[in-house]
Amino acid sequence: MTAITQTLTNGQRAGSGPKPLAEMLLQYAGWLLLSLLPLVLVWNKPYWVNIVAYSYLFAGLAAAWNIIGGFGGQFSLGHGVFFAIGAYAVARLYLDLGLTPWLAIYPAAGLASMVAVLISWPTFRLRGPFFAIATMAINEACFAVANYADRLTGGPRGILIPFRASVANMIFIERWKYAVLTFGFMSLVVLLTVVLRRSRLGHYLLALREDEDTARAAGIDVLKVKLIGMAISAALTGAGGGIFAMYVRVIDPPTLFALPDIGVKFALISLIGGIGTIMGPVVGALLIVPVENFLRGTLGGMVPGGHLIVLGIVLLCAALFLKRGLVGAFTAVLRRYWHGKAP
Amino acid sequence: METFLNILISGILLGGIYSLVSIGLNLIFGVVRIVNFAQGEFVMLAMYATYFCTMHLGINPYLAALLVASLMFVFGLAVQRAVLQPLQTEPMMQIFATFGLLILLENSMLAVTRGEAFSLSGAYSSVVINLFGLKASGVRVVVFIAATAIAAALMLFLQRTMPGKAIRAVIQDRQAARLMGINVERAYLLTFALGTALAGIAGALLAPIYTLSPYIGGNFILAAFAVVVLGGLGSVPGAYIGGLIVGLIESFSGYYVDPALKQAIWFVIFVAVLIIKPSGLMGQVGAEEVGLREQS
Amino acid sequence: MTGEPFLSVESAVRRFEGLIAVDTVSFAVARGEIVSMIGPNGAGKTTMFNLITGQLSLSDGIIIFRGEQIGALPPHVRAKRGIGRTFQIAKPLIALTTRENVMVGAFLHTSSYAVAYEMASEVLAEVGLETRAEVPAGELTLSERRRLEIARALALAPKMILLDEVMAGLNATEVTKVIELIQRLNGRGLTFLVIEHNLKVVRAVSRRVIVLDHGAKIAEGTATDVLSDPMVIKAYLGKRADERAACRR
Repeated sequence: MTAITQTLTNGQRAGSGPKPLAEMLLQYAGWLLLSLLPLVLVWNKPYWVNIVAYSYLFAGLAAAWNIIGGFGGQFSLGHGVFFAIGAYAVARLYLDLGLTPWLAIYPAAGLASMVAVLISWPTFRLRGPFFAIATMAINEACFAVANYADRLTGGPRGILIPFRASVANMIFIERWKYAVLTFGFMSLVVLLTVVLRRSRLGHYLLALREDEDTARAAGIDVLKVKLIGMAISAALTGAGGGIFAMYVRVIDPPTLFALPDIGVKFALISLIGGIGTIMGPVVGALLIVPVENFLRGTLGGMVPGGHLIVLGIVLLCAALFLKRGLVGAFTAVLRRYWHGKAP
Repeated sequence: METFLNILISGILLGGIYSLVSIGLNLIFGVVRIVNFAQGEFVMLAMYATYFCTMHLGINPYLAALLVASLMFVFGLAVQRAVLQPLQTEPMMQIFATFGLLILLENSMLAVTRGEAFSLSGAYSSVVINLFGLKASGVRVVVFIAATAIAAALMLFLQRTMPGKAIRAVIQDRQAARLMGINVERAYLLTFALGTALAGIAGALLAPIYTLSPYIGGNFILAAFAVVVLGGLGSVPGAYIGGLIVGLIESFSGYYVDPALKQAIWFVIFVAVLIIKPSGLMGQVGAEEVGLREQS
Repeated sequence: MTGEPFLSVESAVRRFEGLIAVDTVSFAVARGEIVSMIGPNGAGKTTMFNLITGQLSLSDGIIIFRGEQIGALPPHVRAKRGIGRTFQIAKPLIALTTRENVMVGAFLHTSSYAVAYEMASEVLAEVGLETRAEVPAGELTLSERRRLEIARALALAPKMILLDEVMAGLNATEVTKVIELIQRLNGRGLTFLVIEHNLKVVRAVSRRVIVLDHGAKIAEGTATDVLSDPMVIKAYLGKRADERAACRR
């Protein structure tokens, strides 16, 4: 097997025992370093640096979604809620308590995680599409609550974080520093999914995605596994939300809860990149975020909602023709090629 | 007392609207086991189509309803064939696809209308009916009557006619239905198209009530889901009664709590039903089982 | 019966909205036995399995496994207690490789990837799938899928395995291989409860046979006794065949 197929088949060598985790992490670190290339190419163009920074952030967020949505097969449209909780929590902790965002991210992630477990516990009784609907309803409900609870969230106007640049504040003058930050976030989440994929939890999530009855017969406590997966996914999403808050410094309900921009975007990026793959979210984000920005700039100006029309078409076509995503399709082609070449 | 009665009437009439919108969705859920996120957009399309017929072609909106329903029926056939049939065995892709359809339709209408708001002004919207001494909007009463009539007609169709019985068989057990010689694929096609046509009728009748906006579909879809879960998958009387209950709850909570918390209320209903009685009031199949059964 | 009852089903009943799928069935399986459950289609055999493994709950009656009442335990806990099973429709986890499929079972006893990997390798060798270990499970042939089902159940290190029609669709060579596997594992102390339609297999492996028809137990005994029982024959072939036989006499 070549090195590439080794990577793509999750590190199992035929007959010679399991590949050490360290080796796998190193391999994916290599891929991640490769994804720094776009940043390097545009480093002196702030407009593009901004887009690359966003791409990294959304790659990390999509990878977080992928844990429960891709590996676990639980299609959540409500991750915007965890994103928003992270954003609001970090903003509030920073503004009201003067806590540095580098630390505030942790309680924010924890809060998002707890809320996730709370609302998932009844909704995980639902299978497939109904779970998706419930999470969509949660998103809408939280949107309404965020507008309502203005003492906490600033209501419809939202929260404005004043620009006071310093590393401790996680506010930077130079855009490329944000890009490094979001790259770090993305790398962390991706490497975490590598560890997860190999772990018992990862195998259990994949098992229950395929067939819950089979999973139960194999001794898997399906609800508990789903909740743990969701907790991890939500925590990471909340952390990403916190970073987002310090990046854009203006957070309001429409920005945080808009499904096509946030909740669905995580899922879409994972779909295009490859649901349940590890690098899929990265590939997806590096493709979609720049393209969407471009479309929003050109089409959105000419035709209101134009870029979203394209988004809708992409979603439809991807669902119909690109189920495995780019990484998934690439892996399949490689495997077939390798099989053909082997004696 | 009078306030209470007003809220009650308002709730019942609102319930009629929800019932009308949800009946089609419920049928689709129960038979095709597909969650059609775009159902609200179908209603929206029908509303605009009715507006067009009325304002630009001069057709009576209630006659336009028949025309629009027929067009939506054909549209439904197309969508089922092109999008849903290929994805029959892939529930997650169905979600993506119908959600993509939602975004596509919503924003296409936005592009076409350029954000301009329309409303079907005129004679119909301003009619007020006197109901036991209380005032009620005429067009809403029409919706209520229509919802009741359609529910009744649909129930008759399902109970008495052959295609109706075939559909009921598929709702209960599609493998068994197939073994009995029922063409399940055709049942799917018919049901989806029928559900879309029902959305069309709903849209046509609701056009005089609401101000048209491309985003109005999103308004209905969540309430419709709550209604379907409450009433029970595949149950027409369930959808009807569920709609009334949701309408009443929304009306009362809107007055006594806060109208802005509408979505939160729907979600609470949704979750409460799932915890207490997952199969809904009258459903044969619980929402939690969708996705468990083989899709083929 | 040698040994104490390992599995004891006492007056199990399962109703579905007016249909009685399992009608007051009682039987026991001793440690180290291979017991077959046969009966015409729709007799309630798979339902009985589902009651034992927990996919379905009892409407009435109790089930005791190794001295513990398991009727109220959820399926994954029963798996932990030592009951493994295969499903009639082999459902490999297609997103995973063959080895990973088995590791899913192996993880019951360890959270270490390396340990689960080793356990899975051993089990794969046991069922003869070691050369297919890296193949995505979706690409396995039917015979391989059935063996994968068994492998995944074996990886749980169960005390008792329930096999639901593992032979269906296999050719004669494959059937022989699976019979050998069952006998080998039984020799090491694994208890089996097997649903089978293939009567040759039933005769070859079973110490005892239980016959279900329309949800009720109609016969129990050795394979030879049971298969020549007129009631059993009638259940399989129908009343008319019985009458025709009577006329011929």
